[in-house]
Amino acid sequence: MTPNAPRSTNRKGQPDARRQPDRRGKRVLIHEILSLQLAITAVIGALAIAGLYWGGQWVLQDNYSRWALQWTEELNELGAPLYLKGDAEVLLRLETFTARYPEIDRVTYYFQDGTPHHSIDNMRDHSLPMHPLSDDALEKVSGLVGSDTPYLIDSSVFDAHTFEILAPIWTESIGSDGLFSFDPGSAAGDNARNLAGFVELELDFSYFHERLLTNIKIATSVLLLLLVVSGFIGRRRLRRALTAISDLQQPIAELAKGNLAVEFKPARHREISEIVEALESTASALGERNERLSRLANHDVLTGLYNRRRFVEELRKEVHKVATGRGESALLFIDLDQFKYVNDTCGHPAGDRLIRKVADQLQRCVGDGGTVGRFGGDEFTVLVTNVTKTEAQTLAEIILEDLRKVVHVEDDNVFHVHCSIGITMIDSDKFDHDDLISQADIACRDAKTSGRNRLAFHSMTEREAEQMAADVNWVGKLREAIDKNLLLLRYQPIVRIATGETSHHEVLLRMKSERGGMISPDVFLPAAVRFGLMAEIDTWLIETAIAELAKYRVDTPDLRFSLNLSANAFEAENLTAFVLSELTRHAIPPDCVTFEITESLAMRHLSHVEKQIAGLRELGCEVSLDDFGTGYSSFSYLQKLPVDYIKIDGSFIRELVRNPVDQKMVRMIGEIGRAAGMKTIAEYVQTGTAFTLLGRLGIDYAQGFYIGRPTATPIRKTMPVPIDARQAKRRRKENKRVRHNTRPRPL
Amino acid sequence: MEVPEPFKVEAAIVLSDRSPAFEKVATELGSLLGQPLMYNLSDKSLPPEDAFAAVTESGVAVVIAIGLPAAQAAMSWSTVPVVYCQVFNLEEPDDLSVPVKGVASIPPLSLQVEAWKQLDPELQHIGAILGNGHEDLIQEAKRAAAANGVSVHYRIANSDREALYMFQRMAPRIDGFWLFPDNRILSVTVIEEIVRIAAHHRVRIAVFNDSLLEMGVAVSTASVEADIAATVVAVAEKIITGTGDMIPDLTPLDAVKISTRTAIGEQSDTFAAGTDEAGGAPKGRL
Repeated sequence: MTPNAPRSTNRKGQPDARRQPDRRGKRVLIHEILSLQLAITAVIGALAIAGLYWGGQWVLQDNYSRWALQWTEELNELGAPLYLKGDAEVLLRLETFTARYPEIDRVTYYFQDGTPHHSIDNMRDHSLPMHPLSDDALEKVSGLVGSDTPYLIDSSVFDAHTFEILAPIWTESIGSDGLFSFDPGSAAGDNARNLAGFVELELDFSYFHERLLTNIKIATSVLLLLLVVSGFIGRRRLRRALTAISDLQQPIAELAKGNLAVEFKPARHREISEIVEALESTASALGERNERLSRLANHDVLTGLYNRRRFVEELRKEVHKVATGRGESALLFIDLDQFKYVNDTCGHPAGDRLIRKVADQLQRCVGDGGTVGRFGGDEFTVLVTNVTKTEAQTLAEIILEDLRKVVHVEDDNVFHVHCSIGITMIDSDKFDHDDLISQADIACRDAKTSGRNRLAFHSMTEREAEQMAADVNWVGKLREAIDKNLLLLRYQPIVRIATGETSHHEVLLRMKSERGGMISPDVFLPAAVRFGLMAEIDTWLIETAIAELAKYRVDTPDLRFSLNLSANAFEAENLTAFVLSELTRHAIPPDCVTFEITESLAMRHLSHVEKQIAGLRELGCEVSLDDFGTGYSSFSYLQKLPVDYIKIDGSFIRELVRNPVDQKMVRMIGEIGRAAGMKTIAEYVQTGTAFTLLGRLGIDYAQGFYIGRPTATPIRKTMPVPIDARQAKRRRKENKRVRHNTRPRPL
Repeated sequence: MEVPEPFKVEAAIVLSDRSPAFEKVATELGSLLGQPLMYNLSDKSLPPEDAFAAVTESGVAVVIAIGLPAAQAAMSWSTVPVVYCQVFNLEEPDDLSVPVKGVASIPPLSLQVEAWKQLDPELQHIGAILGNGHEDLIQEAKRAAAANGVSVHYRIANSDREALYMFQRMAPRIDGFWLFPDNRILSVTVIEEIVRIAAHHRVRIAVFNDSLLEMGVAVSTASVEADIAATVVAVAEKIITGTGDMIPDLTPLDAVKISTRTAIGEQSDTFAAGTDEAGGAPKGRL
């Protein structure tokens, strides 16, 4: 099968740049990593600075509070004598104390009624008036006498560097006179307290706050500098580290172009080394796979010789070379004589072994002087370069002689290999490779006609020229038909004899002629096979038939198709996958499609065909063995080929009514098919008598002009049911009912 | 020679309350006076005026008041002469209707300084802070110090804060401090602060009560209850016999009990013991 052409190619098969989106990334990895790194660092730095600021603020505020309270206590002690008696030294000490701490803006002492007593300040403006305490403050602070926290503090987080503290000043005395039974442990609560006044501190720690801010600014600047430096260094380091990745770009591009011999620079970093190793492994694996694929694409699986495609390519090159005046070459077309006899006698594995032996012998005969290819089946081709006609003849004679010496033993049978060789000389580009192959093939057929085991040079007679021209003409027409969709499908009904109803339709291939008529496949398919176009035709047939089936099933849901496939289709490895994809694409149940394979093809490639049949049946499709009876007709093969239908060749049906031997043969095939669980289809049913007789002989289905000719659209027909077929149907029903009634019933 | 009968003092004892210091003195007085009438002012079942009415009816010759509230009540209600003791800050009213005499509440300062000096020979400067009204005590202190080659630096304070303030200023210049039991200028907090500051300046403190030794002071110079009782009885006898005018308003004591933090003993003219105890020579009775 040939897959669909890539949708992103233009008519010339070149990648269409207009349809390819630009998939190259715009972002630069270094910038992205650095941006991320710097962003994270900046966030962490900002958090650190914020933490530093708030932490420092908190610590300072805590310290401010402690200092403030300590100073309050000291000023409380120092200022208490102010209320007791005039002492100039007290004021001096207070001023000295206050002057020692520039953070103290002002200390104010108040009388018990809240009126200012005295004020000491560090502020420049000493003219600030003293105000009495408010009633609210007076009430609050008066209640603090003797408490554990005998002060009011006024500060906030948002203005953490200024404090106002107001505290009461009081005296205490022990209650009992003389203290003769004084016990410090139990007398603590006996103290009598007398409020003396109040002290107020106004503190301003702006100096420390500004220093904190200055330090934070310095820290921020250093952090920013470090960020810039680390960004610069990081960029350089990253660029250096990523250079190894950039260096991979060129080798990878080369690798993408198919240059598998590309060399990668060794990397210093482990991660990149691993990438390099992976790329080298990939290149190596690709090389091996390419070699394997190339071998599969260019060589014949059985013999290892060049296959038809590769040989034709070599031939094309040689024609071009010869055309440029570089010598003369010869093309030999070799066909084994009576090879079919080996296959028929000893089976296809034996035939395969013989083919391999012949291939080896041909390779030895030709040596380095030429190219040997397997063209198909028992056909080989040899391209010998720089030879004269005489030298080519000599080589052909050597080949004939050497192959005659080949003795092949299979199951006590001894076979001698003979072949016929057709030779055509290549001395110009007057004929292309297709022409040349056709000439050599014709010469080979001449050699066979002349008695086999001999060689013949191509000599262009008028008839042969016409034939070759016709063949070449057909190749061109077929290519055009495939490209321009000039191939058509026709549908011939197959009916179930017992009911007369159409079971399914066989899909038949036709080609539209230039004049509008229909060309039978017998006319163009041989040329298609010969010139390697069957793969494309099979692909077209499967795609189109399933698509048509989907279309017709909209109105006729139980419509089923039977498709004929060539040997090429069954040789393709991806047949099953391709069929499945098409069925899935059109949502067709697999059991609505039957694939027909001719008996001769199945027998020739038994082991391969077995796998393909198994694969198709596993999907749910049905398989029909076509033209049964014309080829080997070995009933033992039926056990090996698990098909659903046996299609009896028309040669048994054509004279069925008159020929009792054919009748017995058909009856026997029907009985054997039933025994093997297969249904039988009779082709070439031309008359109602034959149709009736087939029902009597136990055949299940019938196809032919009596039933219906191929039509442009599938037409469902209902045929009159033969009496015997009705009786047989009734009998089967009765037998079924009897079996049912005699079955033991459950209690 | 016929030994005269000891003079029987008919006295009633009035206690300010049941504190141990007062009860010990009362006990000592009881042993000297037989079974005197005894009233406790903290006993709310009997108002002071009723108690003193009962005293009058009992026919006692003198009322012995122990503690300031008892002394003040006696001066107000008693119809017989009053002898008070265990009173440190007494302000006698001008219109006394009966004779009133007192016994010193603290041991003689001379004995205290003498004992202190023996314990701490390097003692040179003693500081003292008192409330108002103790001029006699200050003079006594000066004399006692001078007799022992020690100087006294004193200050008059009006409150605990002032006392603390004064002590803070005084502490660098003294090596010993007399903590008098003047409750008007002392509070527990200030006593603790004084002890703390004194320790900082290596100032040794002499206190008036053994229990203060627990706060970390070095020496306690307390009065002796038996000495107090004997002195009180002697004063009472003088009053009853009509020679009260010959005795001072406040009769000093004769004994001192010296205690240190390592050992506690008692110093008097009749006994002495302990390696850390010291004391002055007895001065004899009045």
